[in-house]
Amino acid sequence: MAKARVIPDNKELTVDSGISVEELLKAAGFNTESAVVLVNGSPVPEDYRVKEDDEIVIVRVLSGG
Amino acid sequence: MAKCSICGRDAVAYIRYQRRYLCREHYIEFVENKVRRSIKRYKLLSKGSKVLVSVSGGKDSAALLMALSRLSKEYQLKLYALHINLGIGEYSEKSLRASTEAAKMLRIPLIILNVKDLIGYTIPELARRLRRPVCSVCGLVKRYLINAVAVELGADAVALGHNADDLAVYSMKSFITQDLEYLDKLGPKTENIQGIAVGRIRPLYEVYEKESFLYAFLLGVPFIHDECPHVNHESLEQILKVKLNEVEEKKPGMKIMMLRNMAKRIRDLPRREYRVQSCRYCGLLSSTEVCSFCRMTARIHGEPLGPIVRSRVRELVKESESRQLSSAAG
Repeated sequence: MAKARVIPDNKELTVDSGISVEELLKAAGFNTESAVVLVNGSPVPEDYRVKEDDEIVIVRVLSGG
Repeated sequence: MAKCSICGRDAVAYIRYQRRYLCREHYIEFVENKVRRSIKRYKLLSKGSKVLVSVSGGKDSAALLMALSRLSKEYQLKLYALHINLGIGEYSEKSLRASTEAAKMLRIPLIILNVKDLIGYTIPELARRLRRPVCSVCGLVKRYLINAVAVELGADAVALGHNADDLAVYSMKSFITQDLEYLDKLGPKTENIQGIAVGRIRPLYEVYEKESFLYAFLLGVPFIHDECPHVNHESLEQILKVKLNEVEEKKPGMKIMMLRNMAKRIRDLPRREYRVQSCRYCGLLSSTEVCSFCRMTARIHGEPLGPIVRSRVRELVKESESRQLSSAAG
C-alpha cells in the first residue's frame, strides 16, 4: 500500500501497490490529460507501477495563468 | 521504469500522440522545439524583437517566460515582463511573489502595475460597483493595461501564455455559442496597429496545458499552484475542457490538429467589421469613439481614467528602462 496526496485539493488516497499511474488517475477521477503524477518528487509516465512506500503526489493541472 | 525513446534514460512522460517516452532533458527540448516551430510556422517573431511578456504567476506564463528566455539568444530578443496586481487577496499576493521571483531568476526586467493604485479599486471591487462579472471586468482591465504598457515600451509584440487547451476550449465555445467572429481572435497572433495597439502572440499555441506545467516544473521556474477564487467550475469553458480531454485521450493529437487547421483557416473565418480608431480620450485602440476602459472608468469616477493611467504607465516604463540602462552600465 502507498499513500497519494492530491494537490491543490489537499485530499489523501490509499493506493494499492502494483497499479499503474493511469489506473490510479482513473480511480481518483482524473483524465490523464488533466493531471501529472509525481513519485518521490519526480514526474513519471502513465504506465509506471506504484511500489510499496512510494511517495505519490497527484497534481491537478490548473487552468489559467 | 520506462526509458526515454531517444537516449534510454529514465522517462518522465509518455507523449501519446507521438508514441514515445521522454526523459527530463528531451522533454524540455520537445517543448522548446514546439515553441520554436510555432514561432517559425506562424511568423510570431523576427530576430531582434522587443517582446513584452505578460506574467500572471501561474504555470503557463512561467513556462512562457522560461521558454522565451532560453530562446532569446537564438532570436536576439529583448524581453520585458509585465505583472498586473489585480487585488484578489492572498491569490494576488502569491501571484506577485511568484512573478517577481521568476523574472529575477531569469534576469528579465519586470514592470508591475497595481490595479487599485491606477483605478482606485481592486478588480472584485470594480466588478461589484459595475455589477458585472469579475472575469469580464478583469479581462477588460488586463487587455487595456497590457496594451498600454506595450505601446509605451515600443514593443514589437505582447507574448501571452495561452496554451493549446485554452485555445481549443475558447474555439469550441465560440462554435457552440455561434459567436463565430470571435474565432478570428484565437489564432497564434494578432497584428500591430501603428501607435494604438501592439500585436499579441501565443508562443504556447501548440503546447498542451499538461506540457506547460511539466516544462515549468522540470526547469524549476517559480509559479503558483493556486486557483483564482473567482473560477467558476460550472462554466461552459470548464465543462468543455473536461470533454475535450476525454476526446484527446481517445484520439491523441486531436487538440493540435484542431488548432493547426484553425490557424490555416483563420483568414477564411467571418470577421466582425468595425472601424479601427483611437479613443478620443486616451488615444489607444477602440472600436467606437470612446474605448471600453475609458467608458468603464467614466462610469465610476465621472471621468475617463485612460489618460491618467497612460501617463502613470509611461513613468513606470521609463523607470524600468532607466534601471535597465544603469544595470547594463554597472
